[in-house]
Amino acid sequence: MSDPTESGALRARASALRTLAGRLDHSLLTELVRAGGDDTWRGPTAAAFQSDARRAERQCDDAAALLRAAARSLEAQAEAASRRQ
Amino acid sequence: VSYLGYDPGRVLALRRRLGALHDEANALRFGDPLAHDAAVAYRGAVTLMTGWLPVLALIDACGFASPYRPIAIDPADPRQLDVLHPADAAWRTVTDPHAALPVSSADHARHVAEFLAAIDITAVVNDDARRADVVGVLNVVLGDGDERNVFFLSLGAEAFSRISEDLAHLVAGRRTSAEATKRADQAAALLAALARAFGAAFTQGALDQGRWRDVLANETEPYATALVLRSATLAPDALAGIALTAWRRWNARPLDDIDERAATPEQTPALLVEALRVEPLAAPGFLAELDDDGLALLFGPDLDQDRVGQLLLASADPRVGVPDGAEASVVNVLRFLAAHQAFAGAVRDALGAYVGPYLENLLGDCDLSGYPARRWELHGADPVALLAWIPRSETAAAALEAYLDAIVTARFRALAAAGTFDGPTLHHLGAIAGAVDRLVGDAHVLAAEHQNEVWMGIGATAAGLISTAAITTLDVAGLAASKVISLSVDAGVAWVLGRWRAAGGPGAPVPVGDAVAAEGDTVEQRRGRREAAYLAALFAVGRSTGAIPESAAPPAFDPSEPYLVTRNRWLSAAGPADAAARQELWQAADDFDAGMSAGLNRFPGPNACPAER
Repeated sequence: MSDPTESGALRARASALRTLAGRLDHSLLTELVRAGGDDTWRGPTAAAFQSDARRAERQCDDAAALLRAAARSLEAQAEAASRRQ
Repeated sequence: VSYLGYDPGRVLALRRRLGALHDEANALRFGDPLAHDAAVAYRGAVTLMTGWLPVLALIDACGFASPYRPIAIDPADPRQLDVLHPADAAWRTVTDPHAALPVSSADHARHVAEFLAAIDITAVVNDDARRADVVGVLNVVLGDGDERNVFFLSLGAEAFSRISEDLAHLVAGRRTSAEATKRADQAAALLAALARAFGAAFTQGALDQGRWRDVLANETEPYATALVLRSATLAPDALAGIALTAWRRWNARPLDDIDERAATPEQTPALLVEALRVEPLAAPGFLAELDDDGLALLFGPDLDQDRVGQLLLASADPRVGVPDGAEASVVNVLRFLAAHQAFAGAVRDALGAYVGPYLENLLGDCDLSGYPARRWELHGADPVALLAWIPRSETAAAALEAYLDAIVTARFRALAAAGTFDGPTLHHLGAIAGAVDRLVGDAHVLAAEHQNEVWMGIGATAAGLISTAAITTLDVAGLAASKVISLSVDAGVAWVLGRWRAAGGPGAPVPVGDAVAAEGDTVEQRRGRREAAYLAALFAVGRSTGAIPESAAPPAFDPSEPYLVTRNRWLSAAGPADAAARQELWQAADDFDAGMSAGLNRFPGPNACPAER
């Protein structure tokens, strides 16, 4: 049931962002380093793939962190709105 | 050219994951304006990785124009060892258009070890081109200390053992055909290179020494172990311990080892003798621990007894180690050979030089004289029984005489210089001299004139040491029969004389050259000359300190009468100024003479000397 107040709307957005961050935590991007490791292949191409996979995993982690930071910001705004009401 | 090795099944699974990633990205919604930056980061990552999909498709496509062209898999090709591991038997290999990435030296060393552990090394030796590649790779890795240590750590003792055995099989095939001999030489060279590097890593402490020792000694074919020891230059205790175990295992059962089955001309015992011969500090530990079966093999007909004789001489070289270090091995060898003299036939000539440096330790009596050289623990054995059979060889008898004269000369001079010229010590020394003279005399092989020649040779050596520090050669009867033995005695005698000269304080200008026996001297006359020389040494020391007047100079030897008569007459002619000094010198000579007479008439007993230990 949605919260009709301003603070309720802010909290709903924050929750959605946290859910999205949680999905990124389990993204396939986080599995590629292991899946493309020495057990799968070896050679210059494999090494280049590994390098890209590590970079992609870091970007995915960064994205999740950005979403959580945005969620915290919205939750702070909701708290402020609650006090005004 | 770079190569890519891959597991087709896992690469296919990776392609599917990337396809699923595409689907995952399509399903995610970043609708909130605050999610924009996160969306950019995530989608950038997805684009980066899904961009690999066409590459993965190319790898497994086998397309004619593909930069990923299949090549034949050869696990034994050292050019692929940083890419393809030989254990990855189900992998495919393709050319790789990406520039080769640098592999760290440690990783490369590890890859070489994994490669070598997995391949059939005999196939490498039998393929000239492949062998050249492997040798080239090994030269680089084994030539660097850090890489070498990583290599052996990764290889492990068991794999090294297996490789050594495989190469040993090839080495054992020498002479079965021209091709086999060629391969044997190549295998021996490869094994020697590996063994040298192993020895360096082992000695440096880079390996688990207990484990490697155990595997080489107990779990490796003795022939392979012997080939490794020949080149590894291990520390003496490690070499002695591993060699001893390998010796016992080889000797345990007939015809069950690589070299026995192949009837190899140079078998395990010969290889071990050679490894020990060139490491004198290891040889005593080995010889001390051999049981009778092991000693029977050592002195048996299967081994080149010239080499065995050299091993004995190296193990007891007085210039190496200290007398106590030779005790257990010399006593063990003498105990066996004295009881099994048939085994000693081929080394008997060397035995005089072998025991000569230790006559004091073997024949010194338990007289509580405080003599500087300790009587060895003979475990109840009779020292005469241990030694009496040796001087039946003229060469051995000559060597014993040479050492005896060197020891007595040097010891007498050192005692004189140290001022510890007491009667019991001189009696003890004389008894040793008398015992050796009696042993040699009883053997009836060394005629008096030959003994004199030995004594003259010693005199020349001593004179050379005193005057010019030059070492002359003892090219005397008997000793000249064997160059190796002659050189051994020569070096040992010079060392004995030099050692006591160095320890002799002011040093005595002993006119040894004037004191040597004349060619026609009897043994008794030679004894008189010795006493005269010894008295001269004592007098010279006394003069150098001002303790003895000039008029107390002892008489020279007169071959026409016993020296006892000469010195008695000299003593009775003393005046008030020198009576005490003459009496002291006379007494010293008499103590030595009494000891020598005792030694000639009564051999030392078999008991140990617990009070002196």
